[in-house]
Amino acid sequence: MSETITLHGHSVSKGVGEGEALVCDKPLSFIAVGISNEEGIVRIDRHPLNGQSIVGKVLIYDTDIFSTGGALSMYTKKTIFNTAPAAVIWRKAHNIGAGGTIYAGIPSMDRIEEGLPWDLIGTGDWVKVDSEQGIVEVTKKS
Amino acid sequence: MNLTDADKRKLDGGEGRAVQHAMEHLVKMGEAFDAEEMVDLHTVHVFSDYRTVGDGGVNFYENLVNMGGHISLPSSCEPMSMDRNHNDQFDWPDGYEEGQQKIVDALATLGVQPTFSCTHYLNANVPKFRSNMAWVEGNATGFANTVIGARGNREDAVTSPLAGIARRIPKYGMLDPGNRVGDCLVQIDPHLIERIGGEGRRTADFEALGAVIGDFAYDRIPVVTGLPDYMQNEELKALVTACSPAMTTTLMLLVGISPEARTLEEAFGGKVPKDVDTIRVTEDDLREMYGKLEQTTKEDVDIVISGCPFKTLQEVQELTQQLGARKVADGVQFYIFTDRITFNMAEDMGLVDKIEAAGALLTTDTCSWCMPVETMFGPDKVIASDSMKMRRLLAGDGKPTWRYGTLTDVVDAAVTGKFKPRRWN
Repeated sequence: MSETITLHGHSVSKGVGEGEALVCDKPLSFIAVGISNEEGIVRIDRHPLNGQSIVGKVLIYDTDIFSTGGALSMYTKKTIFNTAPAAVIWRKAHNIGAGGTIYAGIPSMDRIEEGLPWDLIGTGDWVKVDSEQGIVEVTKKS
Repeated sequence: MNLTDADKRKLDGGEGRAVQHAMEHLVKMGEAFDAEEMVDLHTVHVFSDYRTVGDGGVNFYENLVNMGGHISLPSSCEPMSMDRNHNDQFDWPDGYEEGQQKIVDALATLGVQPTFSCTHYLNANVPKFRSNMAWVEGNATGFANTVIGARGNREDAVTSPLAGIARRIPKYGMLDPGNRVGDCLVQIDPHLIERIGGEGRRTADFEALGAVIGDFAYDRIPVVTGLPDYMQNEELKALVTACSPAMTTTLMLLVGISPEARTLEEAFGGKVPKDVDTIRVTEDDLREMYGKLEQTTKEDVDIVISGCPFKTLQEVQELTQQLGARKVADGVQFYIFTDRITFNMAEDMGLVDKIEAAGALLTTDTCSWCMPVETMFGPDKVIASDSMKMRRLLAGDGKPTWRYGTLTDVVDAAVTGKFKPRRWN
């Protein structure tokens, strides 16, 4: 049986979403030039997630960098190409990620009480984000 | 969040569907950042470029139009994805012009001033001390917060126009005066100040210095000491460019320059904290940053780019002087980016003719960040630029390889086809 842990945090965009975790401890940008809208693949110089797909994942990163246009890039990924993540968890939300996830209806949270999200969740873990309740359920990859 | 009766009326639809839609989003944003109330908004700057916002962005703006949305506050908009004055010089992907035109039309209907500029704060949408802003764009919010003392976050592309329609914004982040105090200290070495900047060098030098400051500050507000008493707008514009991509915040408290940092103590809210995290920046740090911004040692360049953020008229003059009577080398493309206001003045002064006679292109309304670089430039090209921002934003799989140098270095590269940096080596 896989181990399951429950984490608590602060809700940014309310909703419920689940998927496989894709984790890094660095900032990230949703802009089309950084994560292509059509494919949802990270293409940022020297980024730890470079080459990875964010589609349907529970995406975990530090906070948003680069262009404020990332919010509408996220909306286009969600509504046009179906290349958005299932949910997002940040150490600390930025307006860019907050505005984008709220408007696109992607559940998101920050400020996990138990610690830094990348210390608690690993890439490949199955994660359910319930930002209505402020709860994250993590089933560790076996 | 505490809403006023007027806020509640907007939220309940008393001022129409667009205002209600905007308020619904703004309340969620305020709650996400624990804002206690909303404040009146004074100025708006929104996104324009189709490459970034895509068809979702088109739908977003067209929905606001269909709901009867209107922005009556002083406003401006970011560069778009095309230079329609020089359409024959570019090969846009299918559907690109149509998508961009829909955004241009929607922005016009919404009442947004068609600046298509990232430096609107210098000539078109100029905030005042303590103005509340809903602005996208790092260098613009950086300049307005840092140099003018206006208040605003690096607001996202969704929230900015919605706040403009509602004429309200949650009092969070930089909109709350209580948050506008320093978290860390940057001391600039006097020997660096003696050597930094100057004709042909100021943009690259001050953008690199900003990156050193920004990489250290990251999500904190840096207090900076040791800068000259007087700095040109162009130098300040270059310095605060680090507010994106290096920093996630958008205020540098420059002691002696920023209106909220008349003294070191004031910058820290009254008293310098004991053991405040501090760095001292020397010539070595600038030299190292120039090195870090280089991705290759290849001398042969295909493309030369200057004007991120957009060039002021003085910078266009500076570039024209650097170019002199020389011509751009065969096989090299030299792009220079500015806004339509500056372009028109440059044209009147004969500068556009000089630039075009040299074989370079001064564009309006757009820049390489807004354009589809993968299809236009491709991964095999080498670009030389004096823009730290463009260099950091446009690197990665499928994108060109970069060299970083001063304006003098990159103009020489455009003329000779060879990039041979001299500065800080």
